[in-house]
Formats: sequence, C-alpha cells, structure tokens
Amino acid sequence: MKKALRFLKLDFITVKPYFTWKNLFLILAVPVLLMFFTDAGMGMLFFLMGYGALFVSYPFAVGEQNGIDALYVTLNVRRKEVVLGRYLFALCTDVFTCVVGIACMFAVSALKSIDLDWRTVFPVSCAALAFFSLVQAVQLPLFFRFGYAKAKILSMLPFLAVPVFVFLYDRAYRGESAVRLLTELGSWIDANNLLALAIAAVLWVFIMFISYDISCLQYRKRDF
Amino acid sequence: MHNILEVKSLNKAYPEFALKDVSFALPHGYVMGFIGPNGAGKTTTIKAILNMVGYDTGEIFLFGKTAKGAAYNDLIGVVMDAPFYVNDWTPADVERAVAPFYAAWNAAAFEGFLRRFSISRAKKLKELSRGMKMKLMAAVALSHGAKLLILDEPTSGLDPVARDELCDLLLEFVADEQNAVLFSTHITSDLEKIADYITFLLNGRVVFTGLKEELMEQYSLVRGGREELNRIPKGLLIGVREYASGFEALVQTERLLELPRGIGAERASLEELIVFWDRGRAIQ
Repeated sequence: MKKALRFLKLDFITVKPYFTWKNLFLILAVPVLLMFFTDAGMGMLFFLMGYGALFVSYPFAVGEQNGIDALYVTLNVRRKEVVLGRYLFALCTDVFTCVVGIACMFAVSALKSIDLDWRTVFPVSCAALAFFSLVQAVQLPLFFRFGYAKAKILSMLPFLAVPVFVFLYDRAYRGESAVRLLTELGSWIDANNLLALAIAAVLWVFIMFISYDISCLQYRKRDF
Repeated sequence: MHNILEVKSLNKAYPEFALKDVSFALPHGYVMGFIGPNGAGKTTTIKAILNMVGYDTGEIFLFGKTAKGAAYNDLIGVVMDAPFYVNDWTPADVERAVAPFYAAWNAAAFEGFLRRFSISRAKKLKELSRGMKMKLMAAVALSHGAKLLILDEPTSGLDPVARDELCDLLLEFVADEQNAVLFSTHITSDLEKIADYITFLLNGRVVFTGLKEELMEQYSLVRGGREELNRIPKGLLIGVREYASGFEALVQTERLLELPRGIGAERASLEELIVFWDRGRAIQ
C-alpha cells in the first residue's frame, strides 16, 4: 500500500506539467458559466466531473508518449501496485472535481440567491461520483490492456452504453419508457434510503474490485 | 568468485525472433561488454533481466538469488538508449519522482552529478540534448546505491568527450569490487578501453562469453590476394569480404597455420569481430 501511495504521488508528478493555471481556469470557467446562465447546478457538477474523468487518462497518455512504464519497473514498483496507484489516482481526481464542483455550485447559488438543499446535493453528488468511477472501472482495464492510443476510442464505450441501454429497454418493453423505470427506481430509493445506499456501496465495491483484478491481469501480460 | 548476475538458458520467442539458450555470468567488480549487431537480442535480454519483458524458459539470478518475482531493481542502476522520464519534467521533477522509491537515495550525490555534468535543475528535459538526457539517467543510476549498472546503448548519442567521461564514471563505479557493469553498446572502442568480459550475441544466441582478452586472442583478421583465397579450405574463414585485389576475413587464431603462406594475420578489433561474424551468418 505504501508503494501504491508513492506511485499515486508519482502519477500527480507525471501530470503536473499539464495542470497549469490556464487549464484549470478553462476547466472551471465553462461549467461555472453554464450554471450562472442556466441555474443548472447539477448539470455543472456533471460537466466538471466529466472534465475530471478525461483527466484520469492523462497518466496513460503521458506515460505512453514517454515510455514511462519501464521507469516503474526500474523503480521496483510491482505491477499490481501500479494498477492500485492508478485506481487511487482516478478516485482522487473524481473526489477532487466533485468537491470543487459542489463548492462552485454553492458559490454561484449564493451569488444568484438560489436555494440549494444539501438533501438534494448530497445524493446527486454521490450518484455522480458512482457514475464516473463506474465508467472508469470499464475504462481502466482497457487502458492497461491496450495502452492509451489503442484504447482511446474503446474507452468512450461506457458513455455510449447509457443511451444504447435506454434504446434497447424501450424496444423490449413497448409502452413502458425508461423514464418510467427511472421514476419508479427513484421513488423506491426515496422510500428505502439506507438500504439503497448500502446496496449501491456493495455493488460499487464489487465492480471496482473486479475491474482492479482484470486490470492487474492485463497489465501483468504487458512487455515494455 | 561470486556472480552478481547470472543468466542461464534464457529462451524467449517472438513471431520473428527468438532468444535461444542465452547464458552468461558477470562476476562482482568487472565490466562486461554486451555486443552484437542490431536485432541480436541484447535489449530483449536486458529487459528480461529487469523484468520488463517475460521469458519462456530459463533462469536469471541477481545477487545470487533468483530474479523471478523478486524485486532487486533498487540495487540496479539503469541507463537505456532513450530516457523514460516525462519530457516536460525538469531534473528537479525527476528527483521528486524517483527518490521516494529508493531507500538509499543520495540527494547530495545526485546534486554532485548534475553539477559535474552541467545539467540545470530547472531546464525541461525536452530542452536538453540527447547526451544531456543520457547523463541525467546516469546521474539517477549512480545516486541510489546501485550495485549493478545496466546500460543499453547509452553512448550512441554522445560526443567522444562525453563518452570518455562516462567510461571514467564506470571505471570509478567498479573500483568498488562489490559493483559490476553490464554495458551494451555498438561503440566497441569504448569496450576495448574498459570491458573485462564480453558476451557476444548473434541472432539470439551467445557465440562467445568470457574474458575480452580470450576473445581477442581467439580470432585474427587475415588479408590476402584473390588467388590465395581460392587455395584456402572452405569453412576456415568467417565472413569473407572480397575486394578487386584481394580479401579480408576472420579466422580462428589456432587455425592460422592451416592457411597458405603469404597471408598476413593481425589482431582483430571488437568491431571487426562483430562485422565479420555477422557477415558469416549472412553467408550461411
């Protein structure tokens, strides 16, 4: 674990040159302006976390460009520690962008005197965190298997999966729209808050664990 | 005599190339030159030693223990033909990135090497010349208490002064008898200066491994006229190079007496050994 944490720091050093004030401003400006003009606080949060999700692929992209995987070997970092470090990097990025998003949401709300309720913000933020980390649970094994350049297109698949699922659901159950399913799911979650949270947490841990295992398996096979 | 590195019957097959039964041993306190033409398998062998690529069969021992699954890379300083640091890093970033992983990181030694090589801590790697980048890798390799240095074509982009400087560094390094160097290079004149042992790889196989002097004594370069070439028994010459007026070839020194009179023989350089062995393989 100690080495994975050191590796997490190494990942931040890897992407640090690209984390400039100009880039930060651009990443923040668009979602904040979006909320300022549309009052869509949750939209801004998803927008910002979407940027963060793109940032998760940076260590793969920069690493591939510079052949950095060989460096990890010379530093005696075992492959499973590289994988664990990269998952921690993804999680840290998601949590960071989520926290920044919430802070911006409250700041813009205060400026525009919009009422924001924690009881709405908290579950939506958790849902956003879960959504992006699950997308990464699909993306990361692809990056570890194929490397950044080859997996770039494939890694967009999880974003396509949602509309495809809605379309297929609509075709399978004519008359019962996906919106109706989501509404029913929403009411069930409202009625069973804690149970829903527990099920979601267990599912999340399970999926992340499976994803981590697949990544380890794929990365172990790679030659540098 | 203990070996710091021992490779035993290493096999690794790719679709168009294979390492076949590669075996050699490097004792403590010596420099081993790792030579062979392009595609001979030198880099693959080095990467197998470092666990960067897997291998099919064989064994690698580092510091007297099996290298498979074990983690000895903090005791190995590595300088590859291209640096594997991020181009937007500065040498200061490089230190920040690697130092936490080495228990014996010596910041003062690193600083000393940067000063010795005139490398600015603030300059980005993409602004450094290839030679400077190589020196930076050497600075890292020599600043974490490594016992074994593995260098893969580090001198190919360096001017003669910088190469000489690197050779001096390697000699300083092996002055400590616990240390050793495995040095793969095409610039064989560097090895003639500093190598004690040579492992010569050709087409994925070891054709010679042992003391450099033994190799140099085993083969001689012979020259003669065209009519003399016709009188030489087939199979005696290795990699014949024919000219309008004569020929040049390699021959085993112990078989020099089998050659017709009038053929001059002289000591072959390492470069000539590689060239003629490779020509011989092409003719076969």
